[in-house]
Amino acid sequence: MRDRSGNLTIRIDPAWVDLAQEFRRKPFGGHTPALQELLAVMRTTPIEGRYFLWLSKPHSEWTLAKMSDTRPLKPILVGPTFTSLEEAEWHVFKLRWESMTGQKLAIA
Amino acid sequence: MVAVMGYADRRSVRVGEPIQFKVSLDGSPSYRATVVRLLSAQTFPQPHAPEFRFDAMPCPFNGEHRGQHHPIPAGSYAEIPAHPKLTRLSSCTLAAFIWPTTPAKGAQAIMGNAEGPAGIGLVIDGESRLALTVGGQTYALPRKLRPKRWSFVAASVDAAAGTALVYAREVELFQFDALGPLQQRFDRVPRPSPSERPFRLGAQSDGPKAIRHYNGKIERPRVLGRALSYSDLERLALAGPTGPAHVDAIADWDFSRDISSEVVRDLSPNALWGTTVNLPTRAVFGSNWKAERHDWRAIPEQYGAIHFHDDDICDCLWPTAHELTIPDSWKSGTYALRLEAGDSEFWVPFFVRPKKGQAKARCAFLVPTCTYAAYSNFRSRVEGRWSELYHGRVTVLDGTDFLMEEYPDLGSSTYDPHSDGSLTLYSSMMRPVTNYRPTGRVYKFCQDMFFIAWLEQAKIDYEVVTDDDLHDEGVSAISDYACIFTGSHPEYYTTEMMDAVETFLRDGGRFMYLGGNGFYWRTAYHPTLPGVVEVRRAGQGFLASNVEGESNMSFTGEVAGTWLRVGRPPNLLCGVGMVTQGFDACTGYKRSKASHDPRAAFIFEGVKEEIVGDFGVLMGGAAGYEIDRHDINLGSPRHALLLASSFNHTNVYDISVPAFTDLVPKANEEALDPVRADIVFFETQGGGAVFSVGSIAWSGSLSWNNYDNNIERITRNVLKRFIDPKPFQMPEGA
Repeated sequence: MRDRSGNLTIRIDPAWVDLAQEFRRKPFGGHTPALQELLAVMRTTPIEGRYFLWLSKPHSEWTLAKMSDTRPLKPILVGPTFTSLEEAEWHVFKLRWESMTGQKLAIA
Repeated sequence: MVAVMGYADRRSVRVGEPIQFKVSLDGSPSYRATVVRLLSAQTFPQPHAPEFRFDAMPCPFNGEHRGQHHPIPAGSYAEIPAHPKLTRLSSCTLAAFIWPTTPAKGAQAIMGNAEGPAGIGLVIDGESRLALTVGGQTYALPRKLRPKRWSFVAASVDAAAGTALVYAREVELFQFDALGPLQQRFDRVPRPSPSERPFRLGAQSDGPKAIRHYNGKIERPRVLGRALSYSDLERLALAGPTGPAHVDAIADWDFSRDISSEVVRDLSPNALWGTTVNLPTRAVFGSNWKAERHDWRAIPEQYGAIHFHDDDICDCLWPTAHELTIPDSWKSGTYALRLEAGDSEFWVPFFVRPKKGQAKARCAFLVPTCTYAAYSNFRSRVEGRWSELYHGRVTVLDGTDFLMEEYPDLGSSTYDPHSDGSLTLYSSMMRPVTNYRPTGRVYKFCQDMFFIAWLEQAKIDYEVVTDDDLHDEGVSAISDYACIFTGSHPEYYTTEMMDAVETFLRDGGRFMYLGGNGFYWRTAYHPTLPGVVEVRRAGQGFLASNVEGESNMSFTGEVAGTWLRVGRPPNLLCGVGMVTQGFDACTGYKRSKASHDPRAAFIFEGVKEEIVGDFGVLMGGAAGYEIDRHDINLGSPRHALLLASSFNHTNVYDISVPAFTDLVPKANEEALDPVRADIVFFETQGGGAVFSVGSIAWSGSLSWNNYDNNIERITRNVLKRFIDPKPFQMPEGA
């Protein structure tokens, strides 16, 4: 369900560690419906302030970045820099988990 | 910040013809220009992706150049050249029906020739109020205009008495709470002083520049040669926007005429015609629209409004920095002007065709420039809320993507909203385009370079033709070739292009549709402006839909929407039609029994595997991104061979499943047709044939294993047979 601003109204439960483990194993594609729902929440936050990856070397190196909190959007490089998209995806997942549950994920 | 940007006056140029390049530079005194032949794009690291290759071409202007900044003159308006009838207004009335979308966005000009103390104007002041501006003074009504409400607005000036009357009345047809008439009289109002500026509708002059752009619709703007009274204005308001010119009309612009053009026609005897600038949206309904019909051609009098936007941009109008006449020795192919300044790099691709009548290759790559235009400056990929969700991954962006943020006047694509929230319906290539380049996201142009890399590596003799050519020249653009093949995503097609490909096939041509979500949206090119397309997403349940009731193209009058919706499904042309999309993972195809049919033997010659394309540099497979399937109910030919279908797509693809036209209740999950891409082959009467792969990701598998793989083999097998003049025979019983 979404509210009138388009925000998903379901909340992420910090007990859903199994979903985090599933994502850790396979960040791209083929998720269970429960993980897909969780990702839908994480991936549809307002664009202002949202994480994205800055292409720091063509198709080989990506630096974690955030959109500015106001428009026009500006890239704010926050790091670290990754050489694997899977690792970058997992890093963003952990940051969002902590921000949405208030708890750090106890998975490496 | 150093930023170099450019664009060309055309996308397609023949050997011997000129092409002009426009360049703007910020933050650096000079830039480097190099014309290159592109042999591949910057995609993924080796070993399975082609290396980024391009050759510098001998060109007189290759080298360092002094550069300068050129503005991007965004914002639309209509302009009537200065004329004594308008430059020396005395007692007069300015009036129009308006539907402002952002009245609270600051001062906006509705109509007039005011500049400083000169001239006169009807405006929205900085506090959302309708106002008269004359003699450098502003006289506002004590009521705010409401957004998206039709009002009749007017200001009359009695120069002899030194008085003015400002008037507004909401004239909504379907609302219960329309605000009644309100007038305000002002004394000691200065007489309008002469203004040599053009008369503008939707913007105000600041020297030659246009400022104070108005967001919203204007309908039937008029200048009358006397100060109308309150009762006169009431009569005009209640008479609506139709009818003959007023007896006192100095000018009376009727936007329901010449809707497909840039012309603004004056009904008055003075014939003070004007032109629109930066393509404000036409074929939008007016204050009198009754929701009875959607075709503006049938009831133009209900489509007499123009929707102006402060971010419309059609042509940057930069001066030509470099001109190149394509030398006779250059091969047909993909080229680009590469611009470099400090860390800034910008590419301006273009396509070179042989001289007319001198095509030598048997096959041609039909470059989907119409689709490139529809997507040009795809702002939602940077700013959009949903992009990450349906791509199934964190968005990757680079400095070129952010040029749209640094330079908001670069405008938007047909996927993006205007600054006032209305959907962008027109998109132009006559401006720097940040996503038309051989770098960045591997999609559309960048991805299509996989085909070029393959053709070059395989030493296949090919030439190029663009959608622009196909639209302009019809089937003659491709009739020199035995076979044409598409890019990865030929999504946007005009009627002329559909007709040309269909005629080519009826004449025995061979067509390889090597992409996905093709022939999907009916599109229109502007009748006179090059590189400008119109898309109206009418009747669509997903993606941004335009306003219902504004569902016919302004450029052509045709009913808009998907080709499926308008009654000509892509399945008729290529045997498959779009099903869904997902960008998180791709997969392979499983061959069907039909793939072993003797009719398909040439396709699978040398292919032993039953699973094909389960590899690739685009998320791991040849089937994915946007996918199409065979469906007889939607027009796929009954004699078509369904050769293979993809399988195991992820549930990101489910997000778009409403695209299914035959979706049934999920009573029995196993009975549902799965999400799939289909490979289809069929012969045509006349000796031609069609081969379709139904997947954008196909091209990403060609280079796998140093081009030694079954996708490359299948593609090459089909091309080899398709350039063979031996006619195809329709199967018995077909």
